[in-house]
Amino acid sequence: MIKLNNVQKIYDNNKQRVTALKNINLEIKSGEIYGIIGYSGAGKSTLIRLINMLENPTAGEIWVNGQRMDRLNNEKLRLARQKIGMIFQNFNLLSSRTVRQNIAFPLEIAGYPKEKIDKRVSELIKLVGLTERADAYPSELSGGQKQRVGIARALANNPEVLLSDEATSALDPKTTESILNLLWEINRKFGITIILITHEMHVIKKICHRVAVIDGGEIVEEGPVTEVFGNPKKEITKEFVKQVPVLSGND
Amino acid sequence: MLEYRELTQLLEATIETLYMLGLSGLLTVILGIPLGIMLFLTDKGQLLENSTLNRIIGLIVNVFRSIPFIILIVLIMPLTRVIVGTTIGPTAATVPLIIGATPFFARLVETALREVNKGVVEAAISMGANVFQIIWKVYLPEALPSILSGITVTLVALIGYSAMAGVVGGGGLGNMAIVYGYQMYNTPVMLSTTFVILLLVIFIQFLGDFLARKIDKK
Ligand SMILES: Nc1ncnc2c1ncn2[C@@H]1O[C@H](COP(=O)(O)OP(=O)(O)O)[C@@H](O)[C@H]1O
Ligand SMILES: [Mg+2]
Repeated sequence: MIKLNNVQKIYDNNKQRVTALKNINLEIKSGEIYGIIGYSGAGKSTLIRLINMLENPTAGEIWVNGQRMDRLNNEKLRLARQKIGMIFQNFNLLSSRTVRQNIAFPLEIAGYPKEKIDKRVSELIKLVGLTERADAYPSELSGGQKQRVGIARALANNPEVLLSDEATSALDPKTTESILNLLWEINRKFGITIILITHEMHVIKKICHRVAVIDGGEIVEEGPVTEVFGNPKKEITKEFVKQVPVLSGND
Repeated sequence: MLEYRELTQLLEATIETLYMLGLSGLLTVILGIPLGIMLFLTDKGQLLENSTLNRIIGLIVNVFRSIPFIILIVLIMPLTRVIVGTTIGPTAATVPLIIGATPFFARLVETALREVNKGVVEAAISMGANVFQIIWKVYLPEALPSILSGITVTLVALIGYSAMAGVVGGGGLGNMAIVYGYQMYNTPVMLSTTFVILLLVIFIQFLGDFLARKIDKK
């Protein structure tokens, strides 16, 4: 379970102060796919990056599986992060490593022996359907294939949580569809909690159980997807509902 | 044309130059990579941010980079004598060569590291990597093609420096060009030493470019 209590985040460079998150309270159950939707600059990335402490909260508490993340020392935080996978809009693969070596990376970090790494990597390559491309470099892959590598890499250490920061935003509709299907399958098969942020309504509609709408650093509406979008209360939620579905259901 | 005696001399001088280049190049790389890493990582917003340390290292690097090489050789002669026992000959020449080239190369390493995709570093942090793992498994392999180009540029600069070192008794091709070519009005010696230096530069540049292209998977 993930819990954020009264979380606030202010970016304070010596030039300017930006209040990115005002007062966030959030509870995400184990095994659910939780969507966070909002416009650019709303604070989505900040919110998701607080969960694995890529950003420090200015105030409040962050709990992941009973651990108070913002109170861990460096060593404990590194161990906790090994159980929280993350995927990115720009994939962030190592350009100097092949598909296989990229997926092996988090296992090397965690210090597994080579035979174990090889075995696990082969499993993962199969899971994401990249057996044919195992020895290719990222520069030789399509966007969808790169994100599959990103997903395999994020799953390598058997995480309990998967964080997805606009993971399909750089992809075309059809590829987006296949990546969302893969995430959905992973959630069902392994029961991994997925937190997914996006500015696209159809992504939420397709795979999320619950959703939070974030605007100006605040959660303005929250609940099961069907309820929030079936009966939108806030203006911004209504705007998202009005977004025409980009995908037809024929592939 | 060169006489037989001059030819063997040219060969000896070439070997001396290669020796100076090899030894000083190797040590410059060994010293310059950690120095470049420190310059980069202690900078603002980086993993080991430390503005005091960053300013100290940066100052030392800049001071040594701005001293003209020919003056550096003379300035550090006492140090050379302590390390090598003499200030004459190719081994003695490597001391100023290393001290002159290391700050230059360290800046190139720093630039190469700065070009590494921040998102990839962030991904590694999100996977629980420690600083050592991030340097060893992310920064260095990702920056390797650029670092290799930096090594090439540094070696070419070292050829120039080593010719200068030759002038003040370092031996090698520079020494031969000045002592036997220029001072004894021997044009063939002058031209042939220049030609060998030119060949060396072209060869190193070619090899460096080839290797950098080969390992670059971007
Ligand atoms: N490192 C940072 N320093 C200063 N301001 C930042 C930083 N990261 C984000 N911000 C600001 O915080 C706000 C929220 O940003 P972000 O969480 O990236 O929004 P979103 O992901 O919803 O587009 C924006 O105003 C952004 O400019
Ligand atoms: Mg964002």
